Order: sequence, then C-alpha cells, then structure tokens
Amino acid sequence: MYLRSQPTRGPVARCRSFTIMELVVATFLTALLAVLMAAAAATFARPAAEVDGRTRLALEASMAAEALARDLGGYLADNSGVPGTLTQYRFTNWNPSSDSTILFLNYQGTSPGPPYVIVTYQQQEYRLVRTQLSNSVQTVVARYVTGFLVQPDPTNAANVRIQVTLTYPDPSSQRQIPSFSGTYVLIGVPPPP
Amino acid sequence: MKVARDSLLTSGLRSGCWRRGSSLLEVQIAFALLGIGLAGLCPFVVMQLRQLSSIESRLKASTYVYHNVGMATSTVQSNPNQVYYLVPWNNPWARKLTTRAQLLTAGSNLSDLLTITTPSVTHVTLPQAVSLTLDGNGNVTKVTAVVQVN
Repeated sequence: MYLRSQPTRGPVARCRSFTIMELVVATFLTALLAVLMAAAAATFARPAAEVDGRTRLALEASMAAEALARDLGGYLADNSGVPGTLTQYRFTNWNPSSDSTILFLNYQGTSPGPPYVIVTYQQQEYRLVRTQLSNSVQTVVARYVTGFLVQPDPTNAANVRIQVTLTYPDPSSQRQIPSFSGTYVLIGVPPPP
Repeated sequence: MKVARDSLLTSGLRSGCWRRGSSLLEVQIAFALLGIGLAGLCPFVVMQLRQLSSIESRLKASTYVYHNVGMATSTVQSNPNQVYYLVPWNNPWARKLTTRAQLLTAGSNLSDLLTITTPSVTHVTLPQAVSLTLDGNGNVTKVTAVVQVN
C-alpha cells in the first residue's frame, strides 16, 4: 500500500504567490519585449510611413502632371466634345502672373483672334485648382499642395518652369508630425508653330 | 506503510500546492512556432514595400523633406535634381487628337519626327452612320464605317 504524503495544514497549505524573483524576471522580459517592439517599429513602420508619404505625394503629383500635360499638349483639353479644326482651340501662349503664383494658358477660340479661351492654374487652400475662365468651371487637380510657383525657365526663356511642392499631411490636417514634403519641377515646352 | 518519494512531485510541493511549469522543450517549441509565424510575415512586408516603391517610382520628386517625431528633419535630393518636361507632339494632328503632352525626362523625344507632311486642308466626314453586325448573342461581330476624305 502506497500513501501519498499529505500537505501540512495551516497557512502553508495555501497556493503560493509570485516571488520577487519571478516578478523581476517578468518585468525584465516585458522591458526586453518593449525594446524589441520599438526596434521593429523603427525598422518596418518608419520606412513604411516614408514610402506611404512619398507614394501619396507621387500620386498627387502625377495627377497634377497629367492635368498640366493635357493643357500643355498644344490644344485645349476640354472643348466640349467639339474638336474642331487645327486652328480652333489651339494653344496660343502662356504667361505667369506677376507674383508667379498663377499660370495663365491662352487658347484660340472657335474663330481666329480674340476672345481667347483662358485656363488658369493656381493654389487654393492646399489644392491645385484648374479654372477655365470662359465657363468658370473649376477642377481640383491635386491635393496637399503647399507651394505652386510658375516662372520662365532660366535655361530657356521660351519654356515655363512649374514648381509644385506637396506636403502630406498638409498644414490644415490635425496630425502634423510625421510629415513628408516633396518638390516636383515640370518644364513646359511650347508646341511647334 | 510505504510513502511515495517521487523527486518530481516533492520538488513542486514546497508549500503543499503542486503546480507544474512548462518544460524547456515546450518553451523551445513555442518559440520556434513564433519564429516561423514571424518569418511568414516578412514576405508580405517586403512585397508591400516593393509595391509602394513601384508606385512611387512613377514620378519622383526633386527633393524630399521628412519630419518625424524625435528625429531631425532630413532632406533627400534626387540625383540629379529630377526635372520633367512636358513636350507636345510634333504632329499637329497628334496634338489635336491626343491633347496631351509627353511627360519626359528630357526636353525632346527623338522618336517623334520633326519633319511631318500633312495636307494643308484635310476634311474627314462620316457620310453615313456606322453599322454594326450582331450575332445571336448580341455580340458585335462586324463594324462597317464609311469615311470620306476631301
């Protein structure tokens, strides 16, 4: 016959709690885990945030570049579905405003000479807005715009130099940090005569 | 009467309440599984970063400025300062019909011919409506268009 030894009665019969050594070890492991998590965040999250910011800027810049490419292609882009002849809606010239913040694009109308169809690009509250003045239609072509500068190209005065600065998130956002900004330079070449 | 004296049992009976802990092998297996799981996540992270980078490469800025918490502001200059050119097509009809300039990294497109012969007056009309030939399922099998060039 085998008898199992019985635990003694009294206070020693209760289940024991954590010892100070176990708490110290657990605290140390928790701190080690926190350090590892911080390192992982610095390794993965920060580059991901950078790529996220750059990608957003690139997408918005791509939208702005597409809109400018359509308008600088030699003819008016939105001619109400009436393409017309080679002289109608033809690009005439461009001229930046005196403070270099607005780009004016002049196009031929349905008949030669004035009145011209005028399209403008300018920054309005962190947005790049395209406006066709003849029908006052405004189109937002890019967001997160914190800078828009138009001036003649220093290397070739016939060209126009368009500098667009984008910042994500823009200053109107609640979250200011981290922020990412990029500057894009587009050179507009006039169409051949 | 014989009292069992199992060393394993008696070692856990310090205060009369026996609790069995995890063995070293179990802990090692748990960590190995955790490592396998984390290693399985890495390809997804790498794939995501590559996709984002490919999207970003469509249009690169000339300069990037990055502000982050606890970090100094860092500025990255593209090499060399990235500039894009909006170059219209040389062919006037290409300009007219595409209404889009070329987005290039140079001031001209060598494959876009400079000398182009175009009729001084070209007038294209569609004297009659385009007719479609449908099959039994309603799919278009033939399109007939008559174009008159004067």
